Amino acid sequence: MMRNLRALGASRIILIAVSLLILLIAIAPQWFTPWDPAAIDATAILQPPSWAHPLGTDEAGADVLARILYATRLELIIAVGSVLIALLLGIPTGLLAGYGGRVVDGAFSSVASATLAFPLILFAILIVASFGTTPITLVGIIGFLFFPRVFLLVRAQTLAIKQREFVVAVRVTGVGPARTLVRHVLPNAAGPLLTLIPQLMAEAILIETGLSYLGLGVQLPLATWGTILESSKDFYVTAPTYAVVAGLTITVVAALLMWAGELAAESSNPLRRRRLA
Amino acid sequence: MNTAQRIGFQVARLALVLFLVSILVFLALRLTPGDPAILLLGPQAGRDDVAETLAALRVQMGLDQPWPVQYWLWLSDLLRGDFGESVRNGVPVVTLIGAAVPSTIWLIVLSVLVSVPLSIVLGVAAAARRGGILDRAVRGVTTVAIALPGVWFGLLLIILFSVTLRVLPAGGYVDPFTDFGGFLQHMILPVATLSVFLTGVLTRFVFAEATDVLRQDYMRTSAAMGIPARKRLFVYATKNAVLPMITIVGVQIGALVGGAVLVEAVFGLGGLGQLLLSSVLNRDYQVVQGAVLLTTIVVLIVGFLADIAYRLVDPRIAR
Repeated sequence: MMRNLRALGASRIILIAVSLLILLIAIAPQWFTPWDPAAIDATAILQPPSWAHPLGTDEAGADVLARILYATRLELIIAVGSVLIALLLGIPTGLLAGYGGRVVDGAFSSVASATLAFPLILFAILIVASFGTTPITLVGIIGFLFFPRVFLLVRAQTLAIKQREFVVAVRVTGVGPARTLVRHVLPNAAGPLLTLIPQLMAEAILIETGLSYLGLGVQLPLATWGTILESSKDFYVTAPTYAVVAGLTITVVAALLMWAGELAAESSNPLRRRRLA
Repeated sequence: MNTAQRIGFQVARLALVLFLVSILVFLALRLTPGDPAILLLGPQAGRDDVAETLAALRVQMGLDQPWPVQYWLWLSDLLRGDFGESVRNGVPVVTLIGAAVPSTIWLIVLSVLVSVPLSIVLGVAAAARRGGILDRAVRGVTTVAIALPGVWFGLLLIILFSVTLRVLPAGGYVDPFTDFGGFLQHMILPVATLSVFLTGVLTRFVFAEATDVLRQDYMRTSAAMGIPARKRLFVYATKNAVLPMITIVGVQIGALVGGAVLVEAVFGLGGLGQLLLSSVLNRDYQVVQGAVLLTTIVVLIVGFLADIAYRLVDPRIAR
């Protein structure tokens, strides 16, 4: 056990521990704070940090820490959900485009580059402004915008892998294309995907933040870190803790996700691998 | 394929992508809940006596036609440069966008001018000392730079430099041709905000490219020939590591425009971001859609030009 932990390296252990903590907060925020994030208290608005309220209170007297903790779940659902949509759209099309003929490839690639060309946030503004912001529209639109990234990666991996001898050998033994793709080609594309997934999750959180700032975030009583950032923007001078904490949370979590992507790249790329043998 | 054929192929592809984009935007337009004619009439639309006006308006707007015909009518309007009018004040969308665009473009151009040289130096220097302190520092800082929400960082800069230190204006836009000093003063904070993100993205890219280049045989040969390290690094290696940057700036231009729109909304530069923000708040969909479509077309064309430029500059690909 200890040897395995050591082989993992300190950075990975820290990362896994923090991820588990965030997951636990998302599942059971009530274990981490006694406050109700929606509790209004007109006698205690915009208070500085105290023992009772570690991060102070907001303009309605609600506990800021509780609001951040309770928003974790929805933020994670948006991040994970949009990446899942992107994977569902990108993996099958990527495999088909890489493995099929030029016509299939051309068709999928054109749709992907059309989607990729869209300035992400602008398209999200267009859709969200038209259909209103619910977590479902957010997940759908961000997932759709991420799909070309997954598609291009899976397609490139498939193109490279299908030439390899073991794939040719598998096909010669009479294994059908579907089985070849899922059992033999896809697992070999998993490494780069593991790098991309946390980075896309970070981007999803940042896009959600941007939309929330423009007033296109989820509507009350739902809350995300983005909408908390937006609601706190007038209180930088009167309640600095409240104003800073949402942005700080977003930055730290997004940076951790980017870092996780880099560590995944290091462990899946033999050229960059150092500790994991 | 020779260069001319390849460019022809790219033009055909650009046309196809533009076509797909137009269908996407059209669908977003038509799938929007609510009748555009009712939106145009505003609160009066519910009254009985305007029912005829409403029907006439529908015919006039082509809403009684089947979708393919509607698409064709919409597209031919676009091709004539008619992007519709603001529901609020009747000003043509093209005029609104034309007034908003300069500050957004200045923001992007200045940020690229700041970020490109900075990221080349940082990326190449970090790649030259892999595993060293500089390498770790650069990678750590770029990770945070990308993870930082631009809107929040912009607000922090305003609080520090405009509210606390009172050395720079908190927002607003000054035309460079009337007051260049004022223009620069107003641009420092927005450009700093956008450059942090852009430098983060570009530095990582230069770093990856430079790491690859430094492993190449010609780098070892030049070392064996006794050419000074500084020259090898910043002339021989940088040249090849930086060329693909044209493509990256081309690909990232979408992200850059998106970032600029947000940053510019924070600083109230009166550009595309603010136009979008106010149109969204006013439910002025015609303006939102026009602005998104026009921006996307520009982004696509810039990406296309970047690709062509890259092919012309790099002889290995031109062949």
